Amino acid sequence: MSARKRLALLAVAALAASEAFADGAAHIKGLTFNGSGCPLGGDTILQLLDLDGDGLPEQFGLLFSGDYIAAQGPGVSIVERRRNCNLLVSVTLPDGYQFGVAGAYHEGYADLPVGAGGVQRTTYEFVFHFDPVSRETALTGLYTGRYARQDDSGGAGLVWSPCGLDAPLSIRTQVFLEGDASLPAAMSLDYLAPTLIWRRCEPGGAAR
Amino acid sequence: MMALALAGPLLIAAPALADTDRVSIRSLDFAGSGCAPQGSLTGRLVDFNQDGFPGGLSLSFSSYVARQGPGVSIVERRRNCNLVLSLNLPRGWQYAIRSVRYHGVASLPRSVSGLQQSTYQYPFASQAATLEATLRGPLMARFQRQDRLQPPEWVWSPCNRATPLNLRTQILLTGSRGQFASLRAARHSYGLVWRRCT
Repeated sequence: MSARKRLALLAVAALAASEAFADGAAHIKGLTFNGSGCPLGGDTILQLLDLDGDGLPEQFGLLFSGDYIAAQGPGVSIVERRRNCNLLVSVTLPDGYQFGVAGAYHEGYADLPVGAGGVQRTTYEFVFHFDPVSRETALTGLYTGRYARQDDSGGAGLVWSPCGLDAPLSIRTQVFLEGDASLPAAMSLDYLAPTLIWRRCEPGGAAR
Repeated sequence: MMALALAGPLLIAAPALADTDRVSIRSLDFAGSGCAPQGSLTGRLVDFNQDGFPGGLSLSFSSYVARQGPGVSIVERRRNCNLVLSLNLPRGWQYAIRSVRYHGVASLPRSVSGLQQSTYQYPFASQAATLEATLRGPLMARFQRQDRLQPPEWVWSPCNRATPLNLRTQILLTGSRGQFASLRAARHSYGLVWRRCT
C-alpha cells in the first residue's frame, strides 16, 4: 500500500470466497497514486473493499481532496486548466490467473459558462503490454452541477493483464477545460471507484 | 407513516435490550475543499435511544463556504466534503440515512440559488441515495432546510460485513454569476433508521 497517503480503511469481508485462493495467494501488492489532482502529501483518501473475502479487494475508491479541480479565468494560472491523477496497481495472483478492470465509477462537478467546455478522461492500460482504453465525459456550457459516469464493460473487462506476465495496471485520470480560456470555468473529479475482476487464463492460450 | 414523525431513532423491529451495545464511531475520514484536514469537521452520533441506537449523525463544519462575486475565483462557487464513516454497531443490525437537515447561513441575491447535496452508499460502488435542498434568492438569513427519502429509497448498510458509509456532500451556487453571493454550511444533521438484519 502507498504509505504516504491516508489509508482510510480496509473492510474485511466474512462471506464465502468465490474462488478459493489460499491465504495471501491473491492480494494487491502495490497501489500508488500521484498527480496534480492527488499530490504527494495531499489528503486523498483510499478505500479498499474485499467483498467476497478472498483476500483480494475487488473495489477501491479514491475520495479526492479539493485539489482535483481544473479551473480557468482571470487570475488563474494556465497550469490549472488541467489536473491529473495517475494510479498504478500491482496485483499478485496465483499462477494461471489474470486480472482486469470490470468498470469504474466517476463523480465530479462542472461549472461551465456558454463558450467553455470540460472533459474528464480516464485511460486504462497494462503497462507496456496493451492498447489503452479510454472513456470520457465531455460537457459544454452552460452547465452547473454534478456529473457521474460508470465505465462499464458488461462483465467482459475493459482491459486484462497478460497471462504469465507481471504487469501493473495503469489508470490515468485527468480533467481539463476547453474553449475560451478567458471565461471563468471549473471542473472537478471528486470520486473514482474502480472494480477489479479476475479469471483463469485460457489453457495453453496466449496473453490476450 | 406515523413512525416517521417520532423524534429519536426509528427502529423497524423491536429493539433487543440484552444484546445491544451502544453504537459508536470507529473512524471518520474526510477530504474536500469544504473540509480541509485539520479541525474543520466534527462528527457526532446524537439522539440515542435507551437501547443505544443513535437517531442522528451530526456533522459540524467550520469553513464550508461557497461564494461568488467580482474577484472571487470560480472555484469557490462550489465546495465539497467527502466522508468515510465506520461505526461500531451490534451484530445483526443495519442502518440507513432517511433524512437530512441542512443548517447554515445564506446570502443570496435574486437570480442566484444555493444547492446542497448529499449522496451516500455503503459498498462504495453500489446503490446510492441523494438528499438535496435548494435555497432560492433573494435570501439573507440563517436557514434550515430538510429533505427526506421515502422508505423504498433508503440504502441499508450490509449485514455481516463491516462496510463503511461513504458520504459525499457538496454545496454550490447556481444562476447569475456576476453578483456577490455566499452559502455557508454550518451543520448537516442526518436522520438514521435502524432495523434487524433478516
